[in-house]
Amino acid sequence: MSPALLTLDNIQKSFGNTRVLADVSLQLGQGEILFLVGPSGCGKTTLLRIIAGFEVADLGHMQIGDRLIFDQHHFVPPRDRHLGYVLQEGVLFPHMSVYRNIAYGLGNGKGRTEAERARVHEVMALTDISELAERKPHQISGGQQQRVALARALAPGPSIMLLDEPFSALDEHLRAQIRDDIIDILRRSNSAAIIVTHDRHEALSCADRVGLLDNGHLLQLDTPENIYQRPASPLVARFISDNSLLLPAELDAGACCAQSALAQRVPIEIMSAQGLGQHARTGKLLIRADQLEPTRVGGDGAICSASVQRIKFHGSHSQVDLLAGDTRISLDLTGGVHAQLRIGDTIGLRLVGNGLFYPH
Amino acid sequence: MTTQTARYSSSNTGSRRLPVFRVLRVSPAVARWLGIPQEKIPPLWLRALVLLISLPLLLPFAYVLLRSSEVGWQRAVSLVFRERVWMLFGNTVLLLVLVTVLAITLGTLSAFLLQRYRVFGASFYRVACTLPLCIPAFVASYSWISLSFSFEGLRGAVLVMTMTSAPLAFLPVSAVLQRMDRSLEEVSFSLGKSRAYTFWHVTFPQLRPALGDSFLLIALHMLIEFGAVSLLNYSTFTTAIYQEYDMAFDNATAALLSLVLVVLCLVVVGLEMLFRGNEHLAREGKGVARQPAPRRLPRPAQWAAQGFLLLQFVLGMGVPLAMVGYWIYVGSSLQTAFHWVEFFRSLGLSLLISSGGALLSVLAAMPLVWCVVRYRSVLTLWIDRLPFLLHAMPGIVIALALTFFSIRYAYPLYQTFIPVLVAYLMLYLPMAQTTLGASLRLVPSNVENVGKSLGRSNFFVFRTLLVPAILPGVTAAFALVFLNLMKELTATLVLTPTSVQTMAVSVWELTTVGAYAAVAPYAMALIIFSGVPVYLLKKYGFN
Repeated sequence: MSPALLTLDNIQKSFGNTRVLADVSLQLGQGEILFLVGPSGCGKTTLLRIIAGFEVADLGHMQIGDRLIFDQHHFVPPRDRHLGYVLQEGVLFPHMSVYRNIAYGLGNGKGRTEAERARVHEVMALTDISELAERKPHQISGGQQQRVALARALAPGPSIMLLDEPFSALDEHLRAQIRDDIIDILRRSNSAAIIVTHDRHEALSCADRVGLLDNGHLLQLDTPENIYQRPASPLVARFISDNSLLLPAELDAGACCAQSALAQRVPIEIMSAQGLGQHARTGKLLIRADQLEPTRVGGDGAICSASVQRIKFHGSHSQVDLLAGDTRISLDLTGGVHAQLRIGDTIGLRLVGNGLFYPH
Repeated sequence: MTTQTARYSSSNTGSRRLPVFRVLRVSPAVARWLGIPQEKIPPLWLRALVLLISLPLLLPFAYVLLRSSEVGWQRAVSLVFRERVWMLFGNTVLLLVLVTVLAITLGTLSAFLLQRYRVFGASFYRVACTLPLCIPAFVASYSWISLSFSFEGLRGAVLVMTMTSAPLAFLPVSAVLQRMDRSLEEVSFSLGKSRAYTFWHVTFPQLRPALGDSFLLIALHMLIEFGAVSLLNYSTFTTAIYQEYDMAFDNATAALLSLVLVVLCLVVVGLEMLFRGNEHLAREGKGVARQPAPRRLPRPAQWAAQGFLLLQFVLGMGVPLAMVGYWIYVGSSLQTAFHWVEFFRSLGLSLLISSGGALLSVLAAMPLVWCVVRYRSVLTLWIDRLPFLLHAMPGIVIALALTFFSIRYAYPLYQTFIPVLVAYLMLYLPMAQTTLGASLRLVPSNVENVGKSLGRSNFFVFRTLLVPAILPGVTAAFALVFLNLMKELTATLVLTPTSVQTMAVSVWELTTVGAYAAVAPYAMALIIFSGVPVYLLKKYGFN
């Protein structure tokens, strides 16, 4: 495996008595797009600013490729790190034209030489803003400003791009499109990128890997599929999906099934790095809503029964709210299944795959 | 909607009836060239009122041109191009350049230190750097000259004027630094630029409008300052004009020197417009501007900063206050030359004519501001620029013009309070205009439309919606003008009869005869009165 482009080891940071980052370690590979996601105040922006060099970590070790950029005795200032930095509002220099903004990081910053001119036009073509060259920042739209900010950061050819909530200042309808465009541009220019966002759907749909931060801890760093299907802890599960069921449960004797208030025997997989060992036999059972399918009561493989409370038609799918004992379950059903259901019906639920068991 | 309103008003106003007012309209092409987005012409009565108010403002220009042309070409040339005028020119420009450069450097340096670095006692210094605004320049002059005569001449003038002007650079620069988003500088660092490069290419362009404002204020102040330089015995155009006037009321040399001075002032205003350029510097995008965390200073730099700020405090505030206190405590002329009766008479007089002048200024500013905020035409464009032109008119010239016209055409008014009040109006209309304008611009025009759509009359809308909305602005404008008039010296000195003495005139006259202790109570009162507008400015002007 080729050496990582960026390596962070045990980064710690406190502001006064408040711990913002605790022992964060991660590696970024060539051309990889990593999303850092977490609730607001979880430390994700601070982590990005530490990588960029605008905050200084208290402890830890960072290197870009083989080059040490931070440890107890070394600190490379931001301007010598050669990272691209893009912020929420774009932050274009208001007194310079789009062209001058993009040329700012090249040579003497004026973009007068042939090579610089070619490079500016290249990134403008890449970001599809060639016709805006002479405009001032206040004359272009928010989406265009964001493209200019991206072009400006890409122009000097940084090895890594850092983007801090780059899409959240944009209007809803514009956002998805700009996001897809910018991810495409990053992939085409073969840049590795770390993107900070609070939007988990954005992270799951666009990332190569997702890092989930909470309270300064990097809870899990994994592919979007794994984060979604095999969350490392109940905390991750709760953050990544609203409709998942997290139930107090107890292991059966064979440790292959768990019983909970919802169902007597749910086949499980135990999620614990140390194995079960001395752990208690109680814990949390995770069942994602999309693992549940409606079936007849007591039918083949049904683990429990539930009554239909509400049916909402959304066009491509329908949302069906169920009540099983005290547990509320919300299922998204496609293919006209909902048409066979009536409010008040009692149906059975079948589990696809295993539940996940997190011992206490 | 706007297009419709504009078309409606331009086809329905009375501009076709009176040729005079047709001049005030422009063709669409000219409007585009002038940068007027959409012509929207004020109603006839408003235009008439605005013209009526603006006409007296032309008197000083008329005086300078009329008197100069009466002198005749040849004599005018021989009067202007002689050694004494060159000497005055040299003195004035030398003072202007030295003070402007020093004050802006001082103010900018302090603003950077206090805004960007962790300086011990920063909150104290932040106040200390604005406080010299409380000390009228001629009061500071009095305090230094009463300390030692060695402060006469250029040295003392530069010292006094620099210390009193530094806050005019400090305040706007720190306001900009406070507003500026740290991300701008961070983006520059992330693109591999050094601190120096970032300062000159990112930070400085943001400061430019503020520095331009400071330059205009300070440079103009140097050109028109009379009291301070005259007490320090430093000859500039203003002191020379006053001397000429003192020798003979209707003096050709005074008029010609005024002409040169007005031209100089216009040059400064023009330079400022060039310097500022036409750049758009607002922050783009949503979100709150993030402040950079203040950086630590290494120990030697911390000591240097302490020394620098402390010295500035001592020179700007310490010495004047100490001297006033000293003279009150030990003064021997306090018993002989100071009389409580006179003190209260001059206090009452100052209060009376200052409030009269302030009232007049605010009343006159109201229709002007209304016109500018709600309508767009060549007329309103010029009203908007009027403050800048009036700024360029020295108080001494305004006073001479009013003396000249009242003697010639309205003798019964000569040496009454009417010319004084008109002079006050000319001097402080700009201040009233900017303060009122700021508050009126906050009222969206839709507020009035909503009021009218609910079936209310224009007057009802004005009384119930507009007056309450702009009342704080009106109060602030009145207070600012009033308190500034309390320390007005030049025009008062020229226009009032010699028996009538305001506080400022008393300070000036008692200092020129060397009764330093007798000045102290007047100086103290003036410092207190000047402190209030500084507080108001801090509160409303530079937030």
